Amino acid sequence: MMQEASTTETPAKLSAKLRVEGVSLEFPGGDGRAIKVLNGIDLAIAPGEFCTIVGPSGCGKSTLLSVIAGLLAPASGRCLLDEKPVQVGNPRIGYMFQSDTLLPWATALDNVRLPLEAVGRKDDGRCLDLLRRVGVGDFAASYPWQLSGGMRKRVQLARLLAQEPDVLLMDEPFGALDAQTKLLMQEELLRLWESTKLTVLFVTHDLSEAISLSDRVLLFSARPGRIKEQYDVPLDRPRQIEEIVSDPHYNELFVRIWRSLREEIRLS
Amino acid sequence: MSRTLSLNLIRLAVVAVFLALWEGVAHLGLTQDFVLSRPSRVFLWLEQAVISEFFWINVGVTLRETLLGLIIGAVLGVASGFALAHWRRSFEVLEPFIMALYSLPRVALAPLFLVWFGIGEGSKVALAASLVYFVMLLNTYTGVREIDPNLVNAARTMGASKSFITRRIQLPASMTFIFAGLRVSIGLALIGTIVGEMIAGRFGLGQMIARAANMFDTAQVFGIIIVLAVLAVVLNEAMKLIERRVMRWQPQSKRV
Ligand SMILES: Nc1ncnc2c1ncn2[C@@H]1O[C@H](COP(=O)(O)OP(=O)(O)OP(=O)(O)O)[C@@H](O)[C@H]1O
Ligand SMILES: [Mg+2]
Repeated sequence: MMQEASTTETPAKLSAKLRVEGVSLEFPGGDGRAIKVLNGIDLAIAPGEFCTIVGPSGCGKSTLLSVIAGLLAPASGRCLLDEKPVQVGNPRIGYMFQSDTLLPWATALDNVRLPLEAVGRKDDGRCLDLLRRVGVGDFAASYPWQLSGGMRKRVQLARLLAQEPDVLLMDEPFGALDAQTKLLMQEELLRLWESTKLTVLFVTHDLSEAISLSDRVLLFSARPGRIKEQYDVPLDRPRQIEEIVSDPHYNELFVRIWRSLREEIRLS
Repeated sequence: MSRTLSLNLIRLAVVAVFLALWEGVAHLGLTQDFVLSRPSRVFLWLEQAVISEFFWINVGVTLRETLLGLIIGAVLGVASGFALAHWRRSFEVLEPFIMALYSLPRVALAPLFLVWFGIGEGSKVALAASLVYFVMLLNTYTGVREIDPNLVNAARTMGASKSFITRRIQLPASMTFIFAGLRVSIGLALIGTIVGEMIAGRFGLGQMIARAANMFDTAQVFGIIIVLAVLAVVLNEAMKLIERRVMRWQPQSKRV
């Protein structure tokens, strides 16, 4: 049954794939004063869990992912992968940025090869395979500008998987896509996740997407971001995207998250 | 008729009219030959020049000095640009000096280069390279700074080393800026070489111009200027070819 939305509680010290402990961070603002962006984030994600973050724009979601990826050092707190401090460049953590980070001068295939080459490996067969798996096998030799927005996202997904990570950090990966492509990509991501042991932390603005995909939805407050509430999603697996919206649990959860999120958006 | 063809025909007509006016003015005795010469004399000189070994030796010397100056200046400039973009602090420290040297009319250094690098080709190459160096440095520095930081960050999360990021991300990403610098540098390298040759030396088109001017052989001066113009155009086209090859990945509309 549906659990009560709980305010942030210290996550159980059970085995967590990814653990965030008391992470705070501020950026220097334009007027010389510091802007507090993250405010004591505590989070534990179990192995194989699919977690989504929703929250008002500018509340620090992308910043948190960058901290977890090791790109930004927090002012306080720490992030642990398999209970060891994260370090930038650990290929076990795959990060799909909010912005398009395909290399414009490299073909789709060369882009997918990049994470392998970065660590001195080569496996063209697998790279081609991944491109086929995400549905752009015919475009291996195309440059990013020759691809549509959805195809570019697919190539980025293939590149992410080529790295063979255990943890996927995905920052609004389907945000800019049209509704149909988005549904398709969600479905494919679910199938992919079900067939692997991947742990996913997924940022989105789309509540429907958050509920359909994840085991747990984390609601961020307005800046400075902290986890305001957490919701367990009581929907069975494996899920069919098109059936979820007619589930009464889905609707109830949607309304509850939306009411809470609306308050934060008004504050931000 | 295609657009480029008609455009070229009109250009040809402009040249023909210009040459006819020039010849006419000289023919009517409105100017003296040592001041403006005339096209027929210039072409006569060119005709004789292209079959003389001496002329080609000088073309070869000037071309070699220009290319060496271009390559040395570009390689050092690109390397310095990368180094300064990497150690941001050093650029902050050095910026006023770099800008002072960049703004300095470097042909004023020519006499010094003669002392340092000798009267031979070395001093010409050095002068050309010094002109090219700063343009390439500043262009490369800007190019590296303009890179979308997330391209670099994405590579970092994949575990890429610094040298991998320089080679595979920063270098290709700054290529547009590097080629923009190279296009300007062709002209600069030619200026450095010719000025160097004119000041002192035994060979080179600049030296030929200086001697011809001393003897008021204006036809030869114009002839060599035409040769230099042709040289500049050829070098520019060669550079475009290289750029198109390197930047093959670009959409058609962005190509040079
Ligand atoms: N490099 C930076 N320097 C200074 N301020 C920054 C920087 N990056 C982000 N910020 C600020 O930090 C805050 C949080 O940014 P962040 O990108 O994490 O938001 P977000 O929750 O991902 O928003 P969105 O949903 O719109 O993507 C914003 O107010 C932003 O202006
Ligand atoms: Mg964001």
